[in-house]
Amino acid sequence: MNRRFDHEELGEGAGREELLGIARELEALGRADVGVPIRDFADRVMRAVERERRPSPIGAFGAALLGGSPRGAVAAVAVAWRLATRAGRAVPLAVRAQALAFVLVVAVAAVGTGTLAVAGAAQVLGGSGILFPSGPTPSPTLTIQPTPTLEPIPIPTPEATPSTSPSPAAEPSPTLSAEPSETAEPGETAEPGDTAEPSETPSAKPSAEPSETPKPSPTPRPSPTPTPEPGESSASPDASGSETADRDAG
Amino acid sequence: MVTWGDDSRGGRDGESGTLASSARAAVSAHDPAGGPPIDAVRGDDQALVDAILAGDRDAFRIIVERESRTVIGACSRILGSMVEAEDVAQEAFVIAYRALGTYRGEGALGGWLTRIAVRLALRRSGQRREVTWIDPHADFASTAAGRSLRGGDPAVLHAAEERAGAVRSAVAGLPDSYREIVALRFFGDLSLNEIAATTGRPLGTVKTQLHRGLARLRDRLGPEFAS
Repeated sequence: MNRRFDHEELGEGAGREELLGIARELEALGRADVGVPIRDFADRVMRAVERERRPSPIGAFGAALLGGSPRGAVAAVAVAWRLATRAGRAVPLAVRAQALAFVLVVAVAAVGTGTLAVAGAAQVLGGSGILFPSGPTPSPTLTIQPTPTLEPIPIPTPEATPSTSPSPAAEPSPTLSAEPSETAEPGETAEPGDTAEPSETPSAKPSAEPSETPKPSPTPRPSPTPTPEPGESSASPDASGSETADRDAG
Repeated sequence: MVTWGDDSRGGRDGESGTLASSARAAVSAHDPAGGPPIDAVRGDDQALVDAILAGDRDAFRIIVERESRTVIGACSRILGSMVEAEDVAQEAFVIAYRALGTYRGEGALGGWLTRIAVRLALRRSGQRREVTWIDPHADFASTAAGRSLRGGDPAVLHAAEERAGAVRSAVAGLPDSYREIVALRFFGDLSLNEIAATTGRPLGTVKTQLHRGLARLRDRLGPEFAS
């Protein structure tokens, strides 16, 4: 009844004798008398089956999809194809047509889904420049930008040589600021703007602090006394200023 | 031998009756002891399955009558209880009936059914382990030892049943992939080639998993069982 376990079934490996002992134990369990099935077992099964719907590849396909079994879904399509293409008149025409229609619908759906997936992937990858690095997206930027960028570049370069001199440094800024209004390159305009702002900020910070410090300027009123004024009078506002700065920082 | 019953049931719907009757003829010519060529068995299986899919529900009875002994036997060896084995086998047949639309005929139908039943039985066995201690001998009369109790020493038979229970528990505690292979080989009585065809795994993988499964069992059961 039970086919005997052959030691070659174990293949190569250590401890084969021990494993063979375990296999013999399992074999003995498999040889045990399992009794005879009850007489109406087939009737019981058929009664249970009568409550079920007729099995079909379509139903099996849906169940496989719901159960997350792609192998089952593929198998259902294969069975439907087998039914549709079975030779002879063995399969009724209605069942054959249904199976064929199912296969066609699945094929069309698969092709459509695949096309959409490829198009979506191409859009995603192409938009980020991964899939088509020399694609159509860079070309418009290159065609638009060269004309403006080429125009500003020649203008600053001749003016850049005079800008090395200290005074004309302010002159390139209006020329550059006028040109960016035509072109869309704020990168160059921002640089002179930034250079202008820092030039204001260093002057602004000391001017702001002394504007508060003039309050202590009344302190020089007693200074008209003959004592040496400049060292002490200048020291006291600085000290007060440093204290206020510390407080502000604190 | 397969009994079909009333011929009018199978041939009620014209064309499918042709298929069912050819399947019936093939099955009635099939002699399990003689071991027909595997291609012929596959052809029979596919003819039966196609007859059922074409609407001949009664063709399923042929499959049930042909495979019930094997399927119930496999369940019984795993569960150690005939009553429970029949319940699980019935459930397996119903599940197989629902899933007939996915049977591609790559392996024998019997192996496919046995695999479904073995998986169900192993699951039931795994769920049952915690409950076993409440009344471990409730179904003893239906076990192999219980049935042969009349003619043997009760103590020896009980010891044998305990030993068998230990082996079943150890098998039920194996990892899924090893457990299925071990159960199909020793309880489902399938060859390694049949297991490979039924599970869709390469033969080398099946061999490796069987080897590892037996090694795990040796570690669990100890040297007493390995000697």
